[in-house]
Amino acid sequence: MSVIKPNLKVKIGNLRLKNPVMTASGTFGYGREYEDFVDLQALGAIIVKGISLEPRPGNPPPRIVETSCGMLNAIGLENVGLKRFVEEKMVVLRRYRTSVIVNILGDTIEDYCHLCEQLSDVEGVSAIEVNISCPNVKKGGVAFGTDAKMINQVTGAVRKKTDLPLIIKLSPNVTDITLMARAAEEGGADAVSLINTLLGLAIDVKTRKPKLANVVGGLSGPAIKPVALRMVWQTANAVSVPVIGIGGIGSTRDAIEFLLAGASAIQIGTANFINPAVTGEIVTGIHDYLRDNDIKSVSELVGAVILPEG
Amino acid sequence: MNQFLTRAKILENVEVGPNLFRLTFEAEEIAETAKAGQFVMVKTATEASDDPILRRPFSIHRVDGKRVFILYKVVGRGTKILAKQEKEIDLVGPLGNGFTIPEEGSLAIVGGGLGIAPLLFVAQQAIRQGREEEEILVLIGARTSAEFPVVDDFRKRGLKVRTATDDGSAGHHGLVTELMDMEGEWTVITCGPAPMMRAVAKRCEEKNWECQVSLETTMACGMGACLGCAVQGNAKLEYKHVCIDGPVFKASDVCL
Repeated sequence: MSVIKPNLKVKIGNLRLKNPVMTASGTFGYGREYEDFVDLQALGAIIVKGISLEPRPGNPPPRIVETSCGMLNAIGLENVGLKRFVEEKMVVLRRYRTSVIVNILGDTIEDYCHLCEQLSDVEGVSAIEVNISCPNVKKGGVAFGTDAKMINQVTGAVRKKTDLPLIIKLSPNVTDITLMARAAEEGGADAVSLINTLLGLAIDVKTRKPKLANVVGGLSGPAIKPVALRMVWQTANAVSVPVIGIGGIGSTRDAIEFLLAGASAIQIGTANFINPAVTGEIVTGIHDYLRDNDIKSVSELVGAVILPEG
Repeated sequence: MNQFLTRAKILENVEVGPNLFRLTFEAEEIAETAKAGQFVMVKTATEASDDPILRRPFSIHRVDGKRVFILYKVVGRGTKILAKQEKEIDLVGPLGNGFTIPEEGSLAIVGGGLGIAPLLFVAQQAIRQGREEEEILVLIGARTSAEFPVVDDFRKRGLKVRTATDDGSAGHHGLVTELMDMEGEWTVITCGPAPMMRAVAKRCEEKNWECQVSLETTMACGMGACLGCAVQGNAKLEYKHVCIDGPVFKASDVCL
């Protein structure tokens, strides 16, 4: 019997990762928070908490509420800002010898351009993930992430500012996510990542008040996995750039499902809160799955779902 | 950092008062490293269940050798499941910053309701630091005497305890802050319902005593990643995170 060592390496545009497991932005801090639980070097990439040009204080509390098999959050993009990120967080992140992907967010296209430009010169930044799924723009308050034209514009604008691999993170709060993915692809994205959280609401029946100070929040966790998986599958069939799957992944089995649906890599989010060691466990789990099933490379799984004939 | 993710053997999980439980488990690493005021995140869902999804934060009640104790009230789905657990629990800890217990000077421990949970550990640590039992004053308030099952645990350690109840069924008939009639310099460590801690902090401010409070909020991760456990700091648009900046704060640093 030949024992093969499965190949877990993946390629996202020019970005080469040792395996397809990344941490979803906003669920893994700046990496250091998890070093007691995960060998950070074993991860495909660390995607850090979203960074804006200036620090943001975030929303007033309460910011989170538990729901059935999931949670709603309205953190409000609290972050330390670009300067402190580069001077403090990045210094620590460089030590881990793991790809670092910086998630960026802004209010205007110019904000995104500035962030891209400045991060391109920072040692140790492997790629940029553009969060267009949250904020509003100047122009009449149209959300970036739900308008294909805006997605195309912002992608095109940041593309000109950086040679780093560019990942556009998509919102699921749209009628047809494939249109958004195509707009990003046409704008020059190297990959799309999806899904961000689903907009939700919870109300306290005693006080009749929303449970979040922000009223609405983003739903995440196992509750959204089937929706995410469907959107990843649809998108993988609609674009030729790699798709990075996100949404309720908490086990190796979940991760494999996303790969089969067409994701070239995956991000683990809310599960980090429940099991801080989960990312490392899934890296090992994918390795073992490949080995046990005699699959040489993880790329063989991508999009390998077997659909009914006809 | 020194945080552990572990499955701990449950030694005891008993009801010690109305809906009030004390869970004892064996977790050597946590018992050895924990400081008074720190907490653990406990998974209450049964294994392989996604519901309830979030861990629950509990302050450490005290430690003894390899054993760690937590005190909790059954208030919702998570704690209801926890009260039935007998074999093992999945937990992360110790998390957060503990109380700063001064080496000398008078120390008052002021607890209200379930807020006494982390305070027995404070007394234990103060004694371990070499402080005489007589130098520690314990003031405990509750709605009624039935909520006082833990008071004896303080007395057993030779500590001076004064109690107050809202209904007058035990100790002073009134608020615990009315027992704060001490003279001289004091460090006050308090945990309890927000209105009570507000009143304690106000009294300390009047007397120019240092006051440390322990806060509680909903949390997702407990380790500074999700930023969900924000509380208002003392400046506008300044938020503190209970899990990493706290749960213990100087009373003047947060908006109680």
